[in-house]
Amino acid sequence: MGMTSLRPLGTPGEHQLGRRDEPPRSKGRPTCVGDPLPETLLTFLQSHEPLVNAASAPLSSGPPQAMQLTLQGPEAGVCANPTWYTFCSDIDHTDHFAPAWVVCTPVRLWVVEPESAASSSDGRTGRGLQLPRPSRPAAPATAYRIVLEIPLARLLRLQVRHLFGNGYLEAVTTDQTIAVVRFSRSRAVAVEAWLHQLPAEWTAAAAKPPAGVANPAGQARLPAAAVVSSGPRHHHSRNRAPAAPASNPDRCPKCGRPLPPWSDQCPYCINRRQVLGRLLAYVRPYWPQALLMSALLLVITALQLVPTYLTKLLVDQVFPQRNVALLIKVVGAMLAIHLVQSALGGTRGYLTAWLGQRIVHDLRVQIYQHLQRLPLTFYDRRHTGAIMSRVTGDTPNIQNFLVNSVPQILVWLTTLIGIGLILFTLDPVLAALTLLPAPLVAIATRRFSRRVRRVYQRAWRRNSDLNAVLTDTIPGIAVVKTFTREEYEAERFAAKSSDLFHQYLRAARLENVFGPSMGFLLSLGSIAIWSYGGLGVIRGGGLTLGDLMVFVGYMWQFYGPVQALASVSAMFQQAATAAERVFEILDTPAERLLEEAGARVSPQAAADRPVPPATDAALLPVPATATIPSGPSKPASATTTNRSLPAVPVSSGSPAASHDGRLYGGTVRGEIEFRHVSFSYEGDEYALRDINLRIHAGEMVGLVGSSGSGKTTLVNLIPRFYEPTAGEILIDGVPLRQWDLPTLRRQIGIVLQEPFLFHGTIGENIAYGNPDATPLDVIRAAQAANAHEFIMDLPDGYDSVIGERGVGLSGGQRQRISIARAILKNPRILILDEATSAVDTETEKLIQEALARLISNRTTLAIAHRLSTLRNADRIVVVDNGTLVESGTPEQLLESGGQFAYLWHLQTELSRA
Amino acid sequence: MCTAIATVTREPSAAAAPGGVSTVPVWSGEQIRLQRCGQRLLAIPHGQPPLHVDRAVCPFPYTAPQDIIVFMDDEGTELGWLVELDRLDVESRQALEAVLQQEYLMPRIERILTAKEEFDIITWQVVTDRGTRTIEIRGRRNIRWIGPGRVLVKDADGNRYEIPNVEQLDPQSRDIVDAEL
Ligand SMILES: Nc1ncnc2c1ncn2[C@@H]1O[C@H](COP(=O)(O)OP(=O)(O)O)[C@@H](O)[C@H]1O
Ligand SMILES: [Mg+2]
Repeated sequence: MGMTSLRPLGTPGEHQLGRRDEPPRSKGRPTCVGDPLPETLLTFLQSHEPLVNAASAPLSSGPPQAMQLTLQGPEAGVCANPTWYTFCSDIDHTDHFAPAWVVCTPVRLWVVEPESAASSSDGRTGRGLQLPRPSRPAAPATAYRIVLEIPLARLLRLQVRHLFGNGYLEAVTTDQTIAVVRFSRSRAVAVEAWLHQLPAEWTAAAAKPPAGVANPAGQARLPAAAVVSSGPRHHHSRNRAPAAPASNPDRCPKCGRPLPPWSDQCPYCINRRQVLGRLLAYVRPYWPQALLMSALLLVITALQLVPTYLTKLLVDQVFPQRNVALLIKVVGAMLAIHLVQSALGGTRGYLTAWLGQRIVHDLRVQIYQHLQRLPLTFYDRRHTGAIMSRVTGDTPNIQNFLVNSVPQILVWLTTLIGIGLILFTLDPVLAALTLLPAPLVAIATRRFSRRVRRVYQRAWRRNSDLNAVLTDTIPGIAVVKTFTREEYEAERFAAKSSDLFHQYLRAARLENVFGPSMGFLLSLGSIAIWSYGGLGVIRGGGLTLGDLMVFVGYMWQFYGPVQALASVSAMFQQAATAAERVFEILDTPAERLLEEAGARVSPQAAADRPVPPATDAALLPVPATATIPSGPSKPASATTTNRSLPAVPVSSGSPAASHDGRLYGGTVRGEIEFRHVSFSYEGDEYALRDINLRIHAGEMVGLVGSSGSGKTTLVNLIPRFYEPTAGEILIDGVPLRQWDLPTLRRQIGIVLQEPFLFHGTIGENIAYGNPDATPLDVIRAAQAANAHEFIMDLPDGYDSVIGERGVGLSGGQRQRISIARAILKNPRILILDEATSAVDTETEKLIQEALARLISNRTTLAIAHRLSTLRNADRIVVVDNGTLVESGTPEQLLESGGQFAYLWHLQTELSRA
Repeated sequence: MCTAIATVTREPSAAAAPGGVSTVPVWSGEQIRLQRCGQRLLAIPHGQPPLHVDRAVCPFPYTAPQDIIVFMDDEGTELGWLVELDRLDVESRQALEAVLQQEYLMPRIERILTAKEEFDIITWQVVTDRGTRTIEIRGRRNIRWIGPGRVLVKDADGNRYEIPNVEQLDPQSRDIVDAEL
């Protein structure tokens, strides 16, 4: 065991072990498995364990298969190279961040640290240790110190303990338990991997604990390997206990960098050019406009350079020669330029806006469309606000980058080159003088813009904090008042607001210090030009006054782009981040795609699966015993239906199997069957375990169980909001995966505890699932839902607008609207999830009536907190901790005295009290 | 010294009560003695057999680390709660502190040398009381207040760092932290 995981030779360790200068290969040169040892450390250790002959080493059983390959030279058969297992921790024995090496030789275990490790600098403790990706090499230490040595003969086993923010490797020896080395959680994965590489035989030889020595850790020995990872797994029930990482899910498995908080994908491992290419693809449909816009921009920029040059003509020729004709020409040219510039500028501005809005529109619609199709699991893991900000915040960022930044960068670059060329042809020395400070200006601007960005960032964050207070307290104002926290909330808000005020002041201060300073610095430049160039003009060295004016003019035009380009990387960064966030949404597979994948798999999977025995235990009225029997029992007589697989329903409006084998259109009968269904939201924590349940068409089944037992999870599997982790669900005998998703969902109506109504009129809300419904249909549905009367009491009747949260309607009223919505949808299968829990008893009666009408003739799964509401159920199923524990008619269950009876009596007693 | 009593089995009173709700003994500091036992702790409630404590855990590690300690066995089952820590005798207190010190590694950040942010991953090079280190933080949600002036930093690997008092940092470091809070 574990042998297969031995790292092959030629891994990073190899070059460190020095092939280059070919030191005389001693017989005992060890092969390192694990973290590569620095050459100096290897030498140091070899001097302490010279020429170890692995064959004669006390505890070494022959080297494992993989290691045979490492034998070198003709003497290989005589003396095997010993294998050293090496692990580099990032915490030393003084509990400081510094390397500490654990070296396991065939005869002993060492912990070795570089001398003066405690005072080491980041060169040693830096990333080379924390991360697998290459970084600057650690400064090789020259002196080492052995801080711990354990003869292997005395070592019983090595084990890892994961604690809070750290962990340690522990050695259980024949007489004590020793902490070998401590490590931060950054090395937790690596240490586990290393432990698994250790050959089990080493410690297995000493497996039996010596008499009289108890196992202080109380750990059971693993049969094969003597390495034990302890702690976290046992504490799984306690969420706050640190977990033993199999691998760190927060880091990219490829490059080891942390993943962004909003993504499962590593932006560094996606081709950057690909991201840029993808972005540009959004421009492609509009390439003529984009091209025109860029051309206009270039022409405008070029035109901007002309007037400065014209002043040279004025100063050097027109005025000295008193040349009126030329003056008219020059002035005319200036007029023309300004005219053309304005016209082109306007055109360009409109074009930019058009292109930008066009792209942002395309992107926005694409994201929104995709969001509609994403599975619920996508939303479970993300904050609603964060998703929304990608549509509203990130798309404008991308737009800005594409239509403003990219062309602007081109313009800046051409401006710089153009001005540079003109200046150097005029006077190279003066040009050098003018352009020399450019790098300085660039650096200063870069640093400054970073600081300003930080300050603004802070201000924005303060701003969102402020908004968070608002979105928290305004909807919850009733709670604030109930707890008389008005004063507190007001103060909290004032504090946040004042914080924001100071941040903006700070930004203003920074900008108003930097702007004028930069201006002053640049005017120093112009002064230098005036003084040096002025001397040149006076002495008449070929430099004219016009040249000088051109220089000063261009200098100002030159430094704008310099400053702008200095902060271009931030621009790219921002756009890339925005693009990543948007693409992450677009790259998440939609439900439809999942479904297609499922449809491809499903026939095969169905064929592989053995036909389940005709038990369907759960559907039988079982005189309640503790668990549902899994043995054969007689099928429920009256309602048994044709079970041939896959049974395509035959009624007139039945769904038709299309060429792709999926079922479209029509209605279903409404038979639901769960076959060995298990489900987990995440990891191996199962919310449902091996559920077997068959519900006949038209049957009403009540689901009962304590909060968190898995009732909601169970019903959410039916409309495929989630996919079962194991087992399958069938409707009318056809696996869910073979149903077309919209067809399936059209057959299912859901009424939740908290009815969600959309912004719009009451009529629109009732007709939500059935836009073709006539007003009469809507009113009939409302009548059946006992909603008609109160709606008619409203001045606007069915055209009354419901606010964001159904403002103006009571909980019971909103619930009845949602029931009307379900009635109008006319589903074959109805799911009621605590539909009446949130309303008062008066309203409950009305709702009960409404529900009774809704339920008739439909397959109904009702979850109810108040058990009395389930009196009419054909059958009650009790869910406990993810499994079905009881099933039967309410009377049967009450008689049998199981969990349902217990809950029932509890509630009736409570209501009496 | 701890091998002598190592054969003592788990105190039965610590087991789950028959009703299904586990009741765990609560000891005041004066009702118990604590001893180091290798890397672990031996808890000796007065008049009762000793217990092997595999882990001593703070339920409120930041806001009230000194108020209550939960002792757990090697399977994560709670053995008992310890309150009124100030009533422990000196040796017991030292033993407990040593174990807690081992359990909770939370270096204090003293200075932030450089800061970088890319794709919402914040990379800081910091000087801590345990040496210099480069830490990578997944978004500013992982930098948060845990008390007046006190800031908790959680890196991508789950290591925790503490800034005991932001006000006392040098201006540059303070600026960097401030930007994220
Ligand atoms: N979206 C979710 N993500 C992760 N776990 C969930 C989610 N919804 C429910 N759970 C967990 O699944 C279990 C069953 O929950 P649920 O089906 O809502 O119970 P019930 O409806 O019976 O109260 C609970 O332990 C709950 O914490
Ligand atoms: Mg529920």
